[in-house]
Amino acid sequence: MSAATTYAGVREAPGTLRVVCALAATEVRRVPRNLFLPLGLAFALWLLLGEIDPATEDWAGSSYEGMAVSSVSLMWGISVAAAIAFQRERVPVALGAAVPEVVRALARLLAMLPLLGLVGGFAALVAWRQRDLGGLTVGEEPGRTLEALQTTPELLQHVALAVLAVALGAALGRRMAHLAAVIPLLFLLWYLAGAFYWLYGHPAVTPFSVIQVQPVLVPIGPADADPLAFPDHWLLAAPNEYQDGWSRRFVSTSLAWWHNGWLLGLAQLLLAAALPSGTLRRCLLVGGVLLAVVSAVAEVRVIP
Amino acid sequence: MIAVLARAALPTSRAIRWTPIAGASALLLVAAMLTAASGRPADLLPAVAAAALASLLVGSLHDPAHDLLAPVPVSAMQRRALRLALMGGAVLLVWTALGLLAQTSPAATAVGSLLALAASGVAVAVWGPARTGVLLGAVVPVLWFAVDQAVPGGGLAADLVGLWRTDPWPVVAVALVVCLMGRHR
Amino acid sequence: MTTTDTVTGALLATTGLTKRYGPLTAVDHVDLSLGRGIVGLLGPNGAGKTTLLRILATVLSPDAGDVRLLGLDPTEPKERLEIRRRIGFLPQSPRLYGGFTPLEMVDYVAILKEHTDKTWRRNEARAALEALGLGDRMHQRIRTLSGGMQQRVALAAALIGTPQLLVLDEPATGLDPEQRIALRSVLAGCADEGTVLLSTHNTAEVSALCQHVLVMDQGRICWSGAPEDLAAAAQGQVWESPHDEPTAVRSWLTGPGNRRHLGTPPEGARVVTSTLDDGYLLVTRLAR
Repeated sequence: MSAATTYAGVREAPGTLRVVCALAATEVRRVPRNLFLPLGLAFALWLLLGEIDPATEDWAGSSYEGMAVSSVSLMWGISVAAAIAFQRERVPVALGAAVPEVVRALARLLAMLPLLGLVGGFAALVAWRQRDLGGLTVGEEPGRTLEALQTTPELLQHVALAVLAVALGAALGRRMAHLAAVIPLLFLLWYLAGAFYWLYGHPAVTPFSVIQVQPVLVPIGPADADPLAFPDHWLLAAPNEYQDGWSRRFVSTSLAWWHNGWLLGLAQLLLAAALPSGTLRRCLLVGGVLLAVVSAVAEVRVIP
Repeated sequence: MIAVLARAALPTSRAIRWTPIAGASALLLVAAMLTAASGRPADLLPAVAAAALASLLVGSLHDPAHDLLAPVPVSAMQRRALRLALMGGAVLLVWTALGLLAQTSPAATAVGSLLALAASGVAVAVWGPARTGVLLGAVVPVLWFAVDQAVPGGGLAADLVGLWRTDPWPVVAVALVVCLMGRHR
Repeated sequence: MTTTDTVTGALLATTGLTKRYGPLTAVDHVDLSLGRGIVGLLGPNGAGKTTLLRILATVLSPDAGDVRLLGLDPTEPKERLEIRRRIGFLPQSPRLYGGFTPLEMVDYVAILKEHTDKTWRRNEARAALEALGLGDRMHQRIRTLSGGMQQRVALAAALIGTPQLLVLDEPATGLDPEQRIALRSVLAGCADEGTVLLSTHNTAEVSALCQHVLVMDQGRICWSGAPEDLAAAAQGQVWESPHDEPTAVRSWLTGPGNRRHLGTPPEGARVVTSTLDDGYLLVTRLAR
């Protein structure tokens, strides 16, 4: 008779945490079977270590911006992994079993934690790469630096994006009928967010973007303005074919922190869509709306 | 047979899931408008659109009632063709709208690359295993695009993975031949 | 009009039919010759029943052997098309379009069976659905129906067009007793027009419905005959006792303190009348 058996034929119910951990352990073993994950990671590493180089950058700051979006293919892989895991929840398996659907969903989410660890490692690699390159270029004379390093919240955006990627994959996987539609949709969402990040760089749009790429361009004067008249500590962008006047390249730690809050708020809302109705779902909805709204308002207030 | 397919067109269109293509189209058209408003060239947008739309087009071959319909006189290939024709019409409309809205070079919105990716995906779906063929086929366009993005230019490998962009029509022809060879599948 | 094989007179005939999946031989040199009537196909899980039915429904091609269905060769594209106009098939665990109503679903299958007259299609679809007890549900979305009702919609789709060869893979799955009885009368009607071949795990279904039974095991047909002959095959080889019997090839509990045994009964054993279950268990055991 096992220790968990109290009397003949009746088993003592194990704690929910133990059930979640046991389910998560089986799920974790399935995650690496997803082809998109290693491919996405390989592409992200190739981009970070092979392609992004300040010595060959197209404009001052393209390396700095590129590092913020270098993990997009990895995010696609993570979303697909989550979608595959949550798509299995559409199959009614052991509906009468003691473990409710919400616990099963939590176990699937727990199984995604190693992926967040992987992205954490990737963010650390980004930080190392910047230091290895001796810093990055941001801005144009007279407001220019050659030793820019992304701040902690900017680096942590990769992790916040991974949380969003898990939530997005979970929501689409749970709610859509077939992976043949989920995979291209995830591809489109992440590529539009990553490859066209400059679309969301306008001060009015950037608080609501998925990937926030700093510096944010804030118009400060016409083309004939004297750049030496601007404060010394401002990083500048000179007039070019895409902007008529001078702009300030605005970098802000608090803006990056609040944007991470915005991403986590969105992730909560998406997770609510992936979970069955109940208290947890309502809490996620309320918490997600609050966090997203507060973070977005704060971002708007931070941008000059 | 044409008369039968014509009669089957309306119920088949109801059996197809349109939500994914509608969502993707909305995203792409908004992105096209934003890129046009920003005044920057965005030749990558049609490439991303081609991969996503081709993938969704192949995904529309997913037929939950496949087992039930397997022994009807209208063959699986004819039913696939009907689904592709219905979904293909919608995809071409979105593609045309994208070409009109986005500020891209005419070469970027040529329909060849879209057809090359879609035909390759359909060929894989036809020859793939019965249960997973459509999924494998739907993955082909997006994966091909991603690999093409990742492979450094200049070498033979880059030339090969870039064929869907540089020489789409031979790719379409080969894929169609592969599909025809599998017409009884 | 029913077409039979010109040589054997059978509606369904196979010779040396074989299908392999890698090292596994799912169907192994099966010879069949079936005329009008209802034929039951019994066999344990993994015996090759579904593979055999899929070949006979023209969905799967055999690796070796000959098949003649309704006197036609399904390996010839033109003849396969003709066969497909005249057969009905219910796959195992059929899936349907959840957004359709039963009437729309059956009508859709009728279109794909090349029935072009809309009025005829609608009337046939209604008749099939009503015969299967879905008259009051035919305008409800399929996704809102129970599993048993969805099974009946798929059955109605298989029945549309009065097929001369009806191949049904576990048709009674999920049906309640009342619906099983309704299904029996529908299939009995179909058997007047041609051949109904159905696989099942339910021997009671076979004895109530079938004129002929095939027992399949490990890809081979190991027994063929009338249901009563299958029960008789175990006659004199079934006995009951309160304890294990070393001479029995198979024993199982039938109630508190009572075991039923199959094999050669020892002297003085209490031999009982054999059933279809006994016959089935004996022939599948002997086949191994």
